[in-house]
Amino acid sequence: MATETDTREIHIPANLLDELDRYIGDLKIDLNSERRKGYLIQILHKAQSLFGFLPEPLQIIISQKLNISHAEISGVISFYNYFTATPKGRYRISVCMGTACFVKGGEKLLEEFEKFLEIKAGEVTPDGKYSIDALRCIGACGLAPVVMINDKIYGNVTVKQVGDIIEDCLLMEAEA
Amino acid sequence: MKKITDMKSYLEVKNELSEIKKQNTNSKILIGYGTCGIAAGAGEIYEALEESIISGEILNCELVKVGCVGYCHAEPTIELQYPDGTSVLLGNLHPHTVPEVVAGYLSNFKKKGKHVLEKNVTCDVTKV
Amino acid sequence: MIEQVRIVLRNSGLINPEDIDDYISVRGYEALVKCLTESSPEDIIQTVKASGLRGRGGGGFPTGIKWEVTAASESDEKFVICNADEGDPGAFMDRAVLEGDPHSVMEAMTIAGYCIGSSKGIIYIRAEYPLAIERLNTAIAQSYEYGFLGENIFGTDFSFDIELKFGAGAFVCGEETSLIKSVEGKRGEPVVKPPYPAESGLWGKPTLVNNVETYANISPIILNGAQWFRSFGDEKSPGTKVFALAGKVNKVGLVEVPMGTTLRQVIFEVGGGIKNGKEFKAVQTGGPSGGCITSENLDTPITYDNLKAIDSMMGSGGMIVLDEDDCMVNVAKFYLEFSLDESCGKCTPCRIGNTRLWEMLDDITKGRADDNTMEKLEVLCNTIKKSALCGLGQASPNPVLSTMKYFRDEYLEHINDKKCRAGVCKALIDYAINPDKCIGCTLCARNCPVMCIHGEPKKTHVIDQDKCIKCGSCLSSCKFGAVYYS
Ligand SMILES: Cc1cc2nc3c(=O)[nH]c(=O)nc-3n(C[C@H](O)[C@H](O)[C@H](O)COP(=O)(O)O)c2cc1C
Ligand code: SF4
Ligand code: SF4
Ligand code: SF4
Ligand code: FES
Repeated sequence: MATETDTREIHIPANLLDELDRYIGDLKIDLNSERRKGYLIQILHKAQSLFGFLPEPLQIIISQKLNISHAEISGVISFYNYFTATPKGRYRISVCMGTACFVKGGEKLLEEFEKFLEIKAGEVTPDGKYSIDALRCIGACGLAPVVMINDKIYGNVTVKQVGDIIEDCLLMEAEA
Repeated sequence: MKKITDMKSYLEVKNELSEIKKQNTNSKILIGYGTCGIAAGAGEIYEALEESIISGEILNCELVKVGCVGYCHAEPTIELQYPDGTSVLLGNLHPHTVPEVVAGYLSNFKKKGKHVLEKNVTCDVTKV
Repeated sequence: MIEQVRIVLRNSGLINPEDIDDYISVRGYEALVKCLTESSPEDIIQTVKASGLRGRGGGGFPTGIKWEVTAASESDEKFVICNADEGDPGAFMDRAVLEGDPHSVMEAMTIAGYCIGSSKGIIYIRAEYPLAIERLNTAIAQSYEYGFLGENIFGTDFSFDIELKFGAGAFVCGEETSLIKSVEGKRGEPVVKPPYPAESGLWGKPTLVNNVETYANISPIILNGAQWFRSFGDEKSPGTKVFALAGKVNKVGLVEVPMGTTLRQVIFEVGGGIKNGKEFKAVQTGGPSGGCITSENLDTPITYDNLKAIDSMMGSGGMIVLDEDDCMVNVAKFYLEFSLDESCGKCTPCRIGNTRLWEMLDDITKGRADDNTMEKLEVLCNTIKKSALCGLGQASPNPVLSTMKYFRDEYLEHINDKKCRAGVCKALIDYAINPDKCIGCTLCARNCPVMCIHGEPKKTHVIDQDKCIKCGSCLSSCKFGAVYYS
């Protein structure tokens, strides 16, 4: 079950917005130059790392700051797989579906995670805790099949370990 | 840091660095710290070795984090460089046993054993 | 026994990538000093040309000629780009170089800048490589401190800066025109060539685009000379190539061997053969744009031209080894799905054509295909190849064509006999229990998610075929080898 979030109601924390502001300020962008657009993607990366996703109000803020139309920005966001306009889970489970992982059973892992959490790839659990995504190669093919939880990589994963990995997330949550 | 302005100043810096290297009689433990290595537990290996160096279980050794040598199937890997310039690449290591394994290879200058992947991984390209 | 020759990976794993001094002590930046203080751009370009170095990003275009053309383009501003997008899933050579020896790439980019008359370098790196990004940032900062980057390097009037730009998970952005669009902050849709980036690239200015591994070869060539480089490899493909061996091979990892080494040597000598004693089936090179190579061609020396001649390609160096448990139709479908997912959607042959191709392959794997499917597949593949706008679309049917050529019988088996010999295509297999082997331990019945295995304890169990969802749990749970598929 995917949770549909109305992004217009999203509250954007002021302190994070300040940080984004500082980041953009440090780039010393000439707003009259066509080349200001060259900064867009790195700013979207920064924004997504701060907020977790790129809700519409945030897109509009960035659009105003860079003097780039909102339509263009949302076109860019929809083009690149890395960017997301809807929130992900606190624990982002990315199952690698690159070739090396695919031939070593990545698909079975994905199915197992889907079964375990009762959501499909691309969805978030109703409590907002987990999301599952299929990913294309993170360059750790030597350890295929590979699963990534947020930034932590698990190599040589077997279907049986899926439960343990979810447990790991619970532990992380308890620590935090 | 000194700015390099021409071949002369470059060679000065480089020779100075090799001099420091030559005078260093420590062995070096190079830990494969690429994405693969880290995912396979290079961090734990590093910690284990660091502890044994602090506790004195391993002597006259420096730890260095390096990139990957390509032995993904045997990660985590480390390369031991002896003061005489020879070296041995070890793989399939485990944090619990790595201090003992390393201490063994250091004291005996062993070049054989189940962990050995390759000897003297060097490259002549930049030697000349 | 074939020996590895480490030119590209010369420092990877041997020096501390976060300490520029380590790089300098292995003659790092000596080539740059030599170039800037002792050679003219023309001389250096001649050396690169004479070395015969060809682009390692997939196309194999002669690097020296590219430099020469870009140098000849008149402009007030030019750019040097390093393509570190490494999109081929299952390839990780560039990541290893950037994580293990970032300075080698930066040094070469600076030399390239000097040669073509550019003062601005950009490394376009995929966001999936955070560690490489971190190490590059460190390396760039250290390089400025020594004065290898910045204004008036070594007191000459040559200045050079390097900046990172990030990908955002789009495979097509590895294609150079689309990469340039992405650096400009736009949707990474390819544009028609010509004009080539060498004439009109980033912001409409002449731009040199080279791959990570290509750059990593430059300093050794400058230090040791073109003839030295030519002493490795093959007349038309000199030097070495790094391959990322992955899949069903024992020693998964990176190998750097001289061009002209055979696939057999790479897979069976360096790679230690096939995992678990299984039978080698094929090796896929060139990723989603490439093809598969079967045992009959294992002794082909690896060069750009040889691989093309057997319907595959060098690509960036990913080598996926497949064994008897892999279904070639399914592998082709996997690659097509990848291309389909990554298609930018700009042109119809790629967007719609590949969707139709995928549907046909899906039909084959599900036992719904009819007699003339093979023919239709072939026609459509060739149409897409001819009419798609960029390299992604043009090459997307390659895995299908090459598996159809070398594994025709497997396709026909799927279509006519509704059989998948590797046991991969679920719709075509039935699980069954061999009454002679089953001892009635009940384990499979307890593991079956839909509870469709019946039988009393200590008696033969039976699968209810109508309810079976073909999950394979019974097969992997039976300890007596009683479950089999057909
Ligand atoms: C769909 C597609 C994807 C590509 N992906 C990459 C890539 O990930 N890395 C790369 O270096 N070149 C890639 N290329 C090739 C580039 O367009 C370009 O030819 C290359 O970067 C030139 O560098 P080289 O001459 O050093 O090989 C790709 C080409 C196509 C058509
Ligand atoms: S061939 Fe595919 S990826 Fe290339 S431009 Fe056309 S739709 Fe886009
Ligand atoms: S697990 Fe094997 S032996 Fe046990 S009941 Fe099932 S088929 Fe029979
Ligand atoms: S394949 Fe799965 S569903 Fe079918 S009988 Fe075996 S365990 Fe049950
Ligand atoms: S294919 Fe999964 S990490 Fe490369």
